Amino acid sequence: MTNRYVLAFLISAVVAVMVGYSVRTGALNTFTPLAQPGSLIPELTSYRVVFEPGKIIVDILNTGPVETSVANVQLGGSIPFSIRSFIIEPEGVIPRLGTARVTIPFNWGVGEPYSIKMIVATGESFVTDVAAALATPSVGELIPLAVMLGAYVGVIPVYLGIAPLPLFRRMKEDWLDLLAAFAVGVLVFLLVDTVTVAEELSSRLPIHLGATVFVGGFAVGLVGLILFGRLFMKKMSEDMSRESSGRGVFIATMIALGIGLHNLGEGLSIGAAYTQGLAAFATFLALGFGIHNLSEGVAIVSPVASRSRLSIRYPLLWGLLAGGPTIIGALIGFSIYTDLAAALFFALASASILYVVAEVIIQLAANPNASNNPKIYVGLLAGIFTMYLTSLLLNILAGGAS
Amino acid sequence: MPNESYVYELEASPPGLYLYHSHVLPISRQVNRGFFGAYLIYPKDADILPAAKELIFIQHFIDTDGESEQAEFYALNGQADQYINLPIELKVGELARVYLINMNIEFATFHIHANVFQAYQGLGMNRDQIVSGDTVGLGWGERAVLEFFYTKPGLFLFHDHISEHSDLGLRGWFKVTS
Repeated sequence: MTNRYVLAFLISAVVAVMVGYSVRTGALNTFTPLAQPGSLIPELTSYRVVFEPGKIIVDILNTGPVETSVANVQLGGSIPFSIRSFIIEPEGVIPRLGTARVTIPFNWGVGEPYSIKMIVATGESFVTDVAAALATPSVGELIPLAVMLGAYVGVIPVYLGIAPLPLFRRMKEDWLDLLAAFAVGVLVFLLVDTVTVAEELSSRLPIHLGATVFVGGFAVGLVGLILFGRLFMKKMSEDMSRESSGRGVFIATMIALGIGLHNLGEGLSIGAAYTQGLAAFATFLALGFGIHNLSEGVAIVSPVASRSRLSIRYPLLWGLLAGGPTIIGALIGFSIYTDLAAALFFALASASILYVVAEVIIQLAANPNASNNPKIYVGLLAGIFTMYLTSLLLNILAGGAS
Repeated sequence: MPNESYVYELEASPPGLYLYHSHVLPISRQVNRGFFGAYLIYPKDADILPAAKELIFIQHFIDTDGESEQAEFYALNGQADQYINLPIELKVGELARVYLINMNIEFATFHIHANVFQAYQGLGMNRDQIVSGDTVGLGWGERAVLEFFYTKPGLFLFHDHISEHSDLGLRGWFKVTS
């Protein structure tokens, strides 16, 4: 019964996102390019910039409607553009959705801003800006740093939020409803936050690519979670005979997964800030996100707070599921941060949090005691405000550092 | 109109270096994409000009994407860096005469290395108005005729002394052989 509602809700959500995005940007209006043959102009997107001693390496993707080729490469930044010699592999024409690697021999300076301009054979130019050049760290240097940052931001705060679970379980029923509503508040805030970031990042991409990434990531995220949820439920139903109710555990796991995807995005931004020479900023970001993520731990365990018995392996798993992706995100952010990757992750996270919000609200609404309890509004507002205030704190800290 | 032709008839006077360009609106777009050229009216008394290797240099900028004020390239004779890739060949002691035109929509200069030229300004045929130097500055549409020769073999750079122009292609080599 509820599954059917969830499905209907999710399908409407995907359609709403597609329509909304296409109306806002005009991206999905397939008639426009047909009506204007002249609009078949090439488009190049750089998806990775690597700084190595004596050279700058740019990986590019042909995201346009026609094949193209790079005719000229120029380098600017704190100084005006100048023509640079370059090597492109493979040479010649880049087919649609084809990739190429441009290597520019250049003794770049640490911390300098650079703009890389590529001019294609038909004259259009595409600029990639790098705020501050920093040698791309080797994998050996990256892993410990990513683990450390990821642990501070993701794993530890989430576990700290989960830790008061024994306390929650001694609370009375109506206070537990407040806790559940608090979780909804947290998730609603995360949903708005994630959708906003995903939309902003995808709007920086070429229009058709941005639309595809935003809507596609959202749709794939939703379908993936629904499928995962079904498989998981099947597995859970076997355990249900042994434990009183698997539903709470299921929802807690889905929340952990949704938050995990969101934290993957946070890890990305921290990793990216670090590689862009903003080490101090990244530290503040880590601190702020850490405080922010405490309430995520509380949100995860709220569905199981009323259960009498709970195996310890579940909270352990949830902490890892929600916090662990921060480490992976930081690793990706270090090595291949681009608007493209970030937009994709945030779109996936938007879908997963939407799914989780739907699940939690349905669970809350299905409980007649809870839906009549005025405390749930207090909890809801408290959840949103906690997230809002910590993100405000994060912005103040980050603003002061940059 | 497209596919139609028109013959311009001009009186070849007074002698000098001239330029022509499209006046179709917007002119800047036509000019910044290369719709211009030079013509030369030699004096009747050809002996005024000593025998030389004659070169026409039109300095101009190229806007390839039509999107910004910023030029993608600065070029000599239609192509950025073309005389970097294919140096202009001169002989030691051979007189070179450069007919120089600034078609940029901004001030430009021309500078040669390790040498000094005699510059004839205005239309370039008044042999009394001589300025010597290694850099000459030209406003929009201004011209100069430069004469010089090298005394040693080697590769000698020439470029617009405005760095932004030089960096984007307004530069080249003289390859002087004995």
